[in-house]
Amino acid sequence: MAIGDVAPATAPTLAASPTAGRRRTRRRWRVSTVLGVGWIVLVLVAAVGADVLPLADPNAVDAKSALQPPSSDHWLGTDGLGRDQLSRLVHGAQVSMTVSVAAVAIGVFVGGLLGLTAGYLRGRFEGLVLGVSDVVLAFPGLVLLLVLLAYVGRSLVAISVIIGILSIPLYARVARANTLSVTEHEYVRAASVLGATRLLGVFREVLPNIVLPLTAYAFVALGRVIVLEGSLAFLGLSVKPPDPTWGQMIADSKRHISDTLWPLIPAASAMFFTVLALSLIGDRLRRTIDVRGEDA
Amino acid sequence: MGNDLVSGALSRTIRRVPRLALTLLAVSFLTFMLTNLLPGDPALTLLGENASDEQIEALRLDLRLDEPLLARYVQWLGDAFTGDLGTSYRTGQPVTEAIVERLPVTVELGLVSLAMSLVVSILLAVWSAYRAGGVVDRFLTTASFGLMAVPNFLLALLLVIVFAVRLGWLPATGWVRFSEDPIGNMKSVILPAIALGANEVAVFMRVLRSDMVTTLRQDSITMARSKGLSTRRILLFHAFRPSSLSLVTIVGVQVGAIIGGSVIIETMFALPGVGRLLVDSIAERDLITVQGLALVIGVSVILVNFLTDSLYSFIDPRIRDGDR
Amino acid sequence: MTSPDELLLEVVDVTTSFDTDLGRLVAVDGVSFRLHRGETLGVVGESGSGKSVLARSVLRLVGDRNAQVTGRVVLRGSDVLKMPDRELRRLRGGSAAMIFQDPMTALNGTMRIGSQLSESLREHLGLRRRQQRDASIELLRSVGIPDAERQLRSYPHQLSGGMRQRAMIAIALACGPDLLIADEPTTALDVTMQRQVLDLLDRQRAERSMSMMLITHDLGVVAGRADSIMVMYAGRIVERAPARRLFTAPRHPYTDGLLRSIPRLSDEPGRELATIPGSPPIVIGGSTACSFAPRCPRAQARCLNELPLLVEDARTDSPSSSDGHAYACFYPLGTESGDAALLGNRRAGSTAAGLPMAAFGPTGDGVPT
Repeated sequence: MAIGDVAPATAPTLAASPTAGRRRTRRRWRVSTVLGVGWIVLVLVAAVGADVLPLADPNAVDAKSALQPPSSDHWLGTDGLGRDQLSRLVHGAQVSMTVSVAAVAIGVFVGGLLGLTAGYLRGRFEGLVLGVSDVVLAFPGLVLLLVLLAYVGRSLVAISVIIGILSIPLYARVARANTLSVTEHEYVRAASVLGATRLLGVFREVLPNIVLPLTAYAFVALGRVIVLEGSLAFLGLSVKPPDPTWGQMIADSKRHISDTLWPLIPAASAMFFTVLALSLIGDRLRRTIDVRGEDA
Repeated sequence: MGNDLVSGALSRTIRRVPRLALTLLAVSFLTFMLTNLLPGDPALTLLGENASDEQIEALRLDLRLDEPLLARYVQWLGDAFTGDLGTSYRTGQPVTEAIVERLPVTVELGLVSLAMSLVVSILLAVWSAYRAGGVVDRFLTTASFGLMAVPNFLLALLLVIVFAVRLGWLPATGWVRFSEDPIGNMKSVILPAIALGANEVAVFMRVLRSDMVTTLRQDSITMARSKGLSTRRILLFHAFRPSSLSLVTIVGVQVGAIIGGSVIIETMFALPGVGRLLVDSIAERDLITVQGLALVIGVSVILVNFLTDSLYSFIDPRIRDGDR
Repeated sequence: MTSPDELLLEVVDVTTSFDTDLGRLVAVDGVSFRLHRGETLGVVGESGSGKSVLARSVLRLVGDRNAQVTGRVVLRGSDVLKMPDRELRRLRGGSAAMIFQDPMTALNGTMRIGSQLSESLREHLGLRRRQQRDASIELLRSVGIPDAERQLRSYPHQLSGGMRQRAMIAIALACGPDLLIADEPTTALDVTMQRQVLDLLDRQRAERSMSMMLITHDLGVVAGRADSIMVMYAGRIVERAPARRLFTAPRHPYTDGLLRSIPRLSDEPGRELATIPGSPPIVIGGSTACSFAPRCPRAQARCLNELPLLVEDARTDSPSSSDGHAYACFYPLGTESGDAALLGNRRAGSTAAGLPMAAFGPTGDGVPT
């Protein structure tokens, strides 16, 4: 090797990332990721098993035992109508998970497909996809969601589908951007030169490379959808009462805040930890893909 | 500023106008279609089940339901241009008037919230980046994850519990106009603004910190230090300024989130703003008002994004000259 | 008031290390040297040899929070490493300044050239706006930037590469420093530009009776411009000599390898340039052996077990012994033991570090005299 014409390897800086501290940080993240995954698994189990777990009826009203703190009868206490909070929390997980998983699945699948095709074909199709997503993204998600729900009516299916459709442009953009960066690579060009049918080429070569970024994004999006559903519940526009959702529970607790915080704590914590866990997992995934993310 | 540079930025801005116009047109069309693609008879849907036949007939005429769709769109767009968004069939109030009445509340809430979150996030991000890897930095990085996991309605509720219910310092609900009582106005805006802006603090802080850390590693910072400049000057002119570009973009993007959030926050704090109007109109199925609001909000978001994009090219001389 | 022999900078046993996951990375290891007023010191080494970190250590610019700089850097009588921040700020940009390899990254892309000049002038000389402008124009002219008034309003990206480099030099020279540290000032430029910029630096040095540390990976850059040259390898000085002497009678095999890899006009076309096989090591902890041994054609068992220290050349004819020729090698060029080591390795076909002699190419291992 001849003597290199390279920039100095060590660029000393005002505030370079501390290598010693980073090791600790890394370990801490690993712990938090494991905790996050554990929590999400727990929520999923609750959501799937809500109907078979030995729980009280989430909608059974018992005015005599309203607003109780946790006890052996009601592990998480009762709400303003005397309904068992643990049962409502677990059934609420079902709604939260159904809405968010369904919405994200629709968004990832359709958006991913559109973005991938747009990024590969370029040209007029790409322009159309980008143009339409510009228009949809012009509206704040919640506003468009509210407006559409006003027309379509509110049910679990409608909410999931509309959120899913509204998020298509976001996934389409992520998928398109990643497709573009992948198609810059030689091997995809080689594949298309070798005559692999164009769209088949897209799937075989590009798909594996955009799945991870999309997944990372989807985890963060799951959390967003849970918050969105909560917002709807708060505005009284989510699934119709008395069926429990976390947002509904938080909204219900509002009436009692001057007396007791027990009705607020379970649902608020559940929502907080779920969103936090999802964003930690998403962030972890993003860092594994994006080397630059180490600094971010 | 050199005239050539300003004109460079201007011409770049002007070049983007046709696309802007196209997007605006598409947004208006989408909004228009919302009411007109309703299943069944729009007049019946708008007026509700118990409207009389005469009312329905009058509305059908008013909406020109007999004319072709495109003609109706052109007519509606023309009206919208002159500031006529129709009249609510629930309240009898012109939609434009209802919006204009409530706009100041939402604009004040949004601006106060944006200003607060920018100030806080810039200070924290600069500190965090300057001492990257330090205790403060690691705490703030972790805290920003936590902050982003708190939905704004939950934060609003917690703020009300602490500052209104327990401490009794600030009102839990209601709005005092600035012209009536400036201090009362500040008091009524502060909790909603915090609840609305807290998530943005985390978003802005992370974006800016990340950019600042990258900038602080560059030779330009070593160069600036080798010139004997003060730390403050280095952080402000040599680190913050080149790093503020993504922040500007993100602020533009987040304006949509702030408008969306104001819908919840205004409802939560019973503020008479545009967001509250939207929720009320939806609850009352006042679709003409909903349509007008959707148009105004969509157009505002697009215009704000257009403006921040233009601002971008004024900040970064490289972009405004068209290279990079 | 300034005598030509005035000692401007004295660096004593400076060691710069970084705490890393792997341990203490020693980037600069016990470097000492002196620089007199008006002199140019060439600091030569491959990337990773520690020369850039040394340059930054002199002005206490190593910003990494895990970095530690020990030793003494005495500039005009006061120790840079110990002075209070306020005094340090006066020194940086005032009596000592620095220029960098790539002005595109070293200049602030969002500030006009004029502002980047005048912020120094204001900070150190307290000039007012009008004076800042006049001084800035004067500075830009002196570094050969045409149409200086207009260029004050330019942003770095609007200038050509050569002009950018000149602008950076003007900024560094703004407050009339006694010491200019130039870190690879010409690496980002093409050959003709390199020459112009080096000439400019040399002229400015002479006019201002300024001292200069000229840091480069390319011995060709310092040839004819440096008064003395320091060759660095793995954070240590491996050879130090007056420039002429280093070129004519190198002692260290590494210096010899560097010299052999310079293309010369007298080369017949197609001659293969000599190369030094491998790349410099990263030193973790302290060295207990010669760091160059794994790449050295003369490496013997002793080189792998013992650290050669920098010693004065016994045969030096220079009267002032401290600024004379010194090297850190057990088997230097031009000595019997050195030649014997090389011949022994040739006969064996590989060095004591296990490197095949063929790796050095036809002439790369150094011909014993």
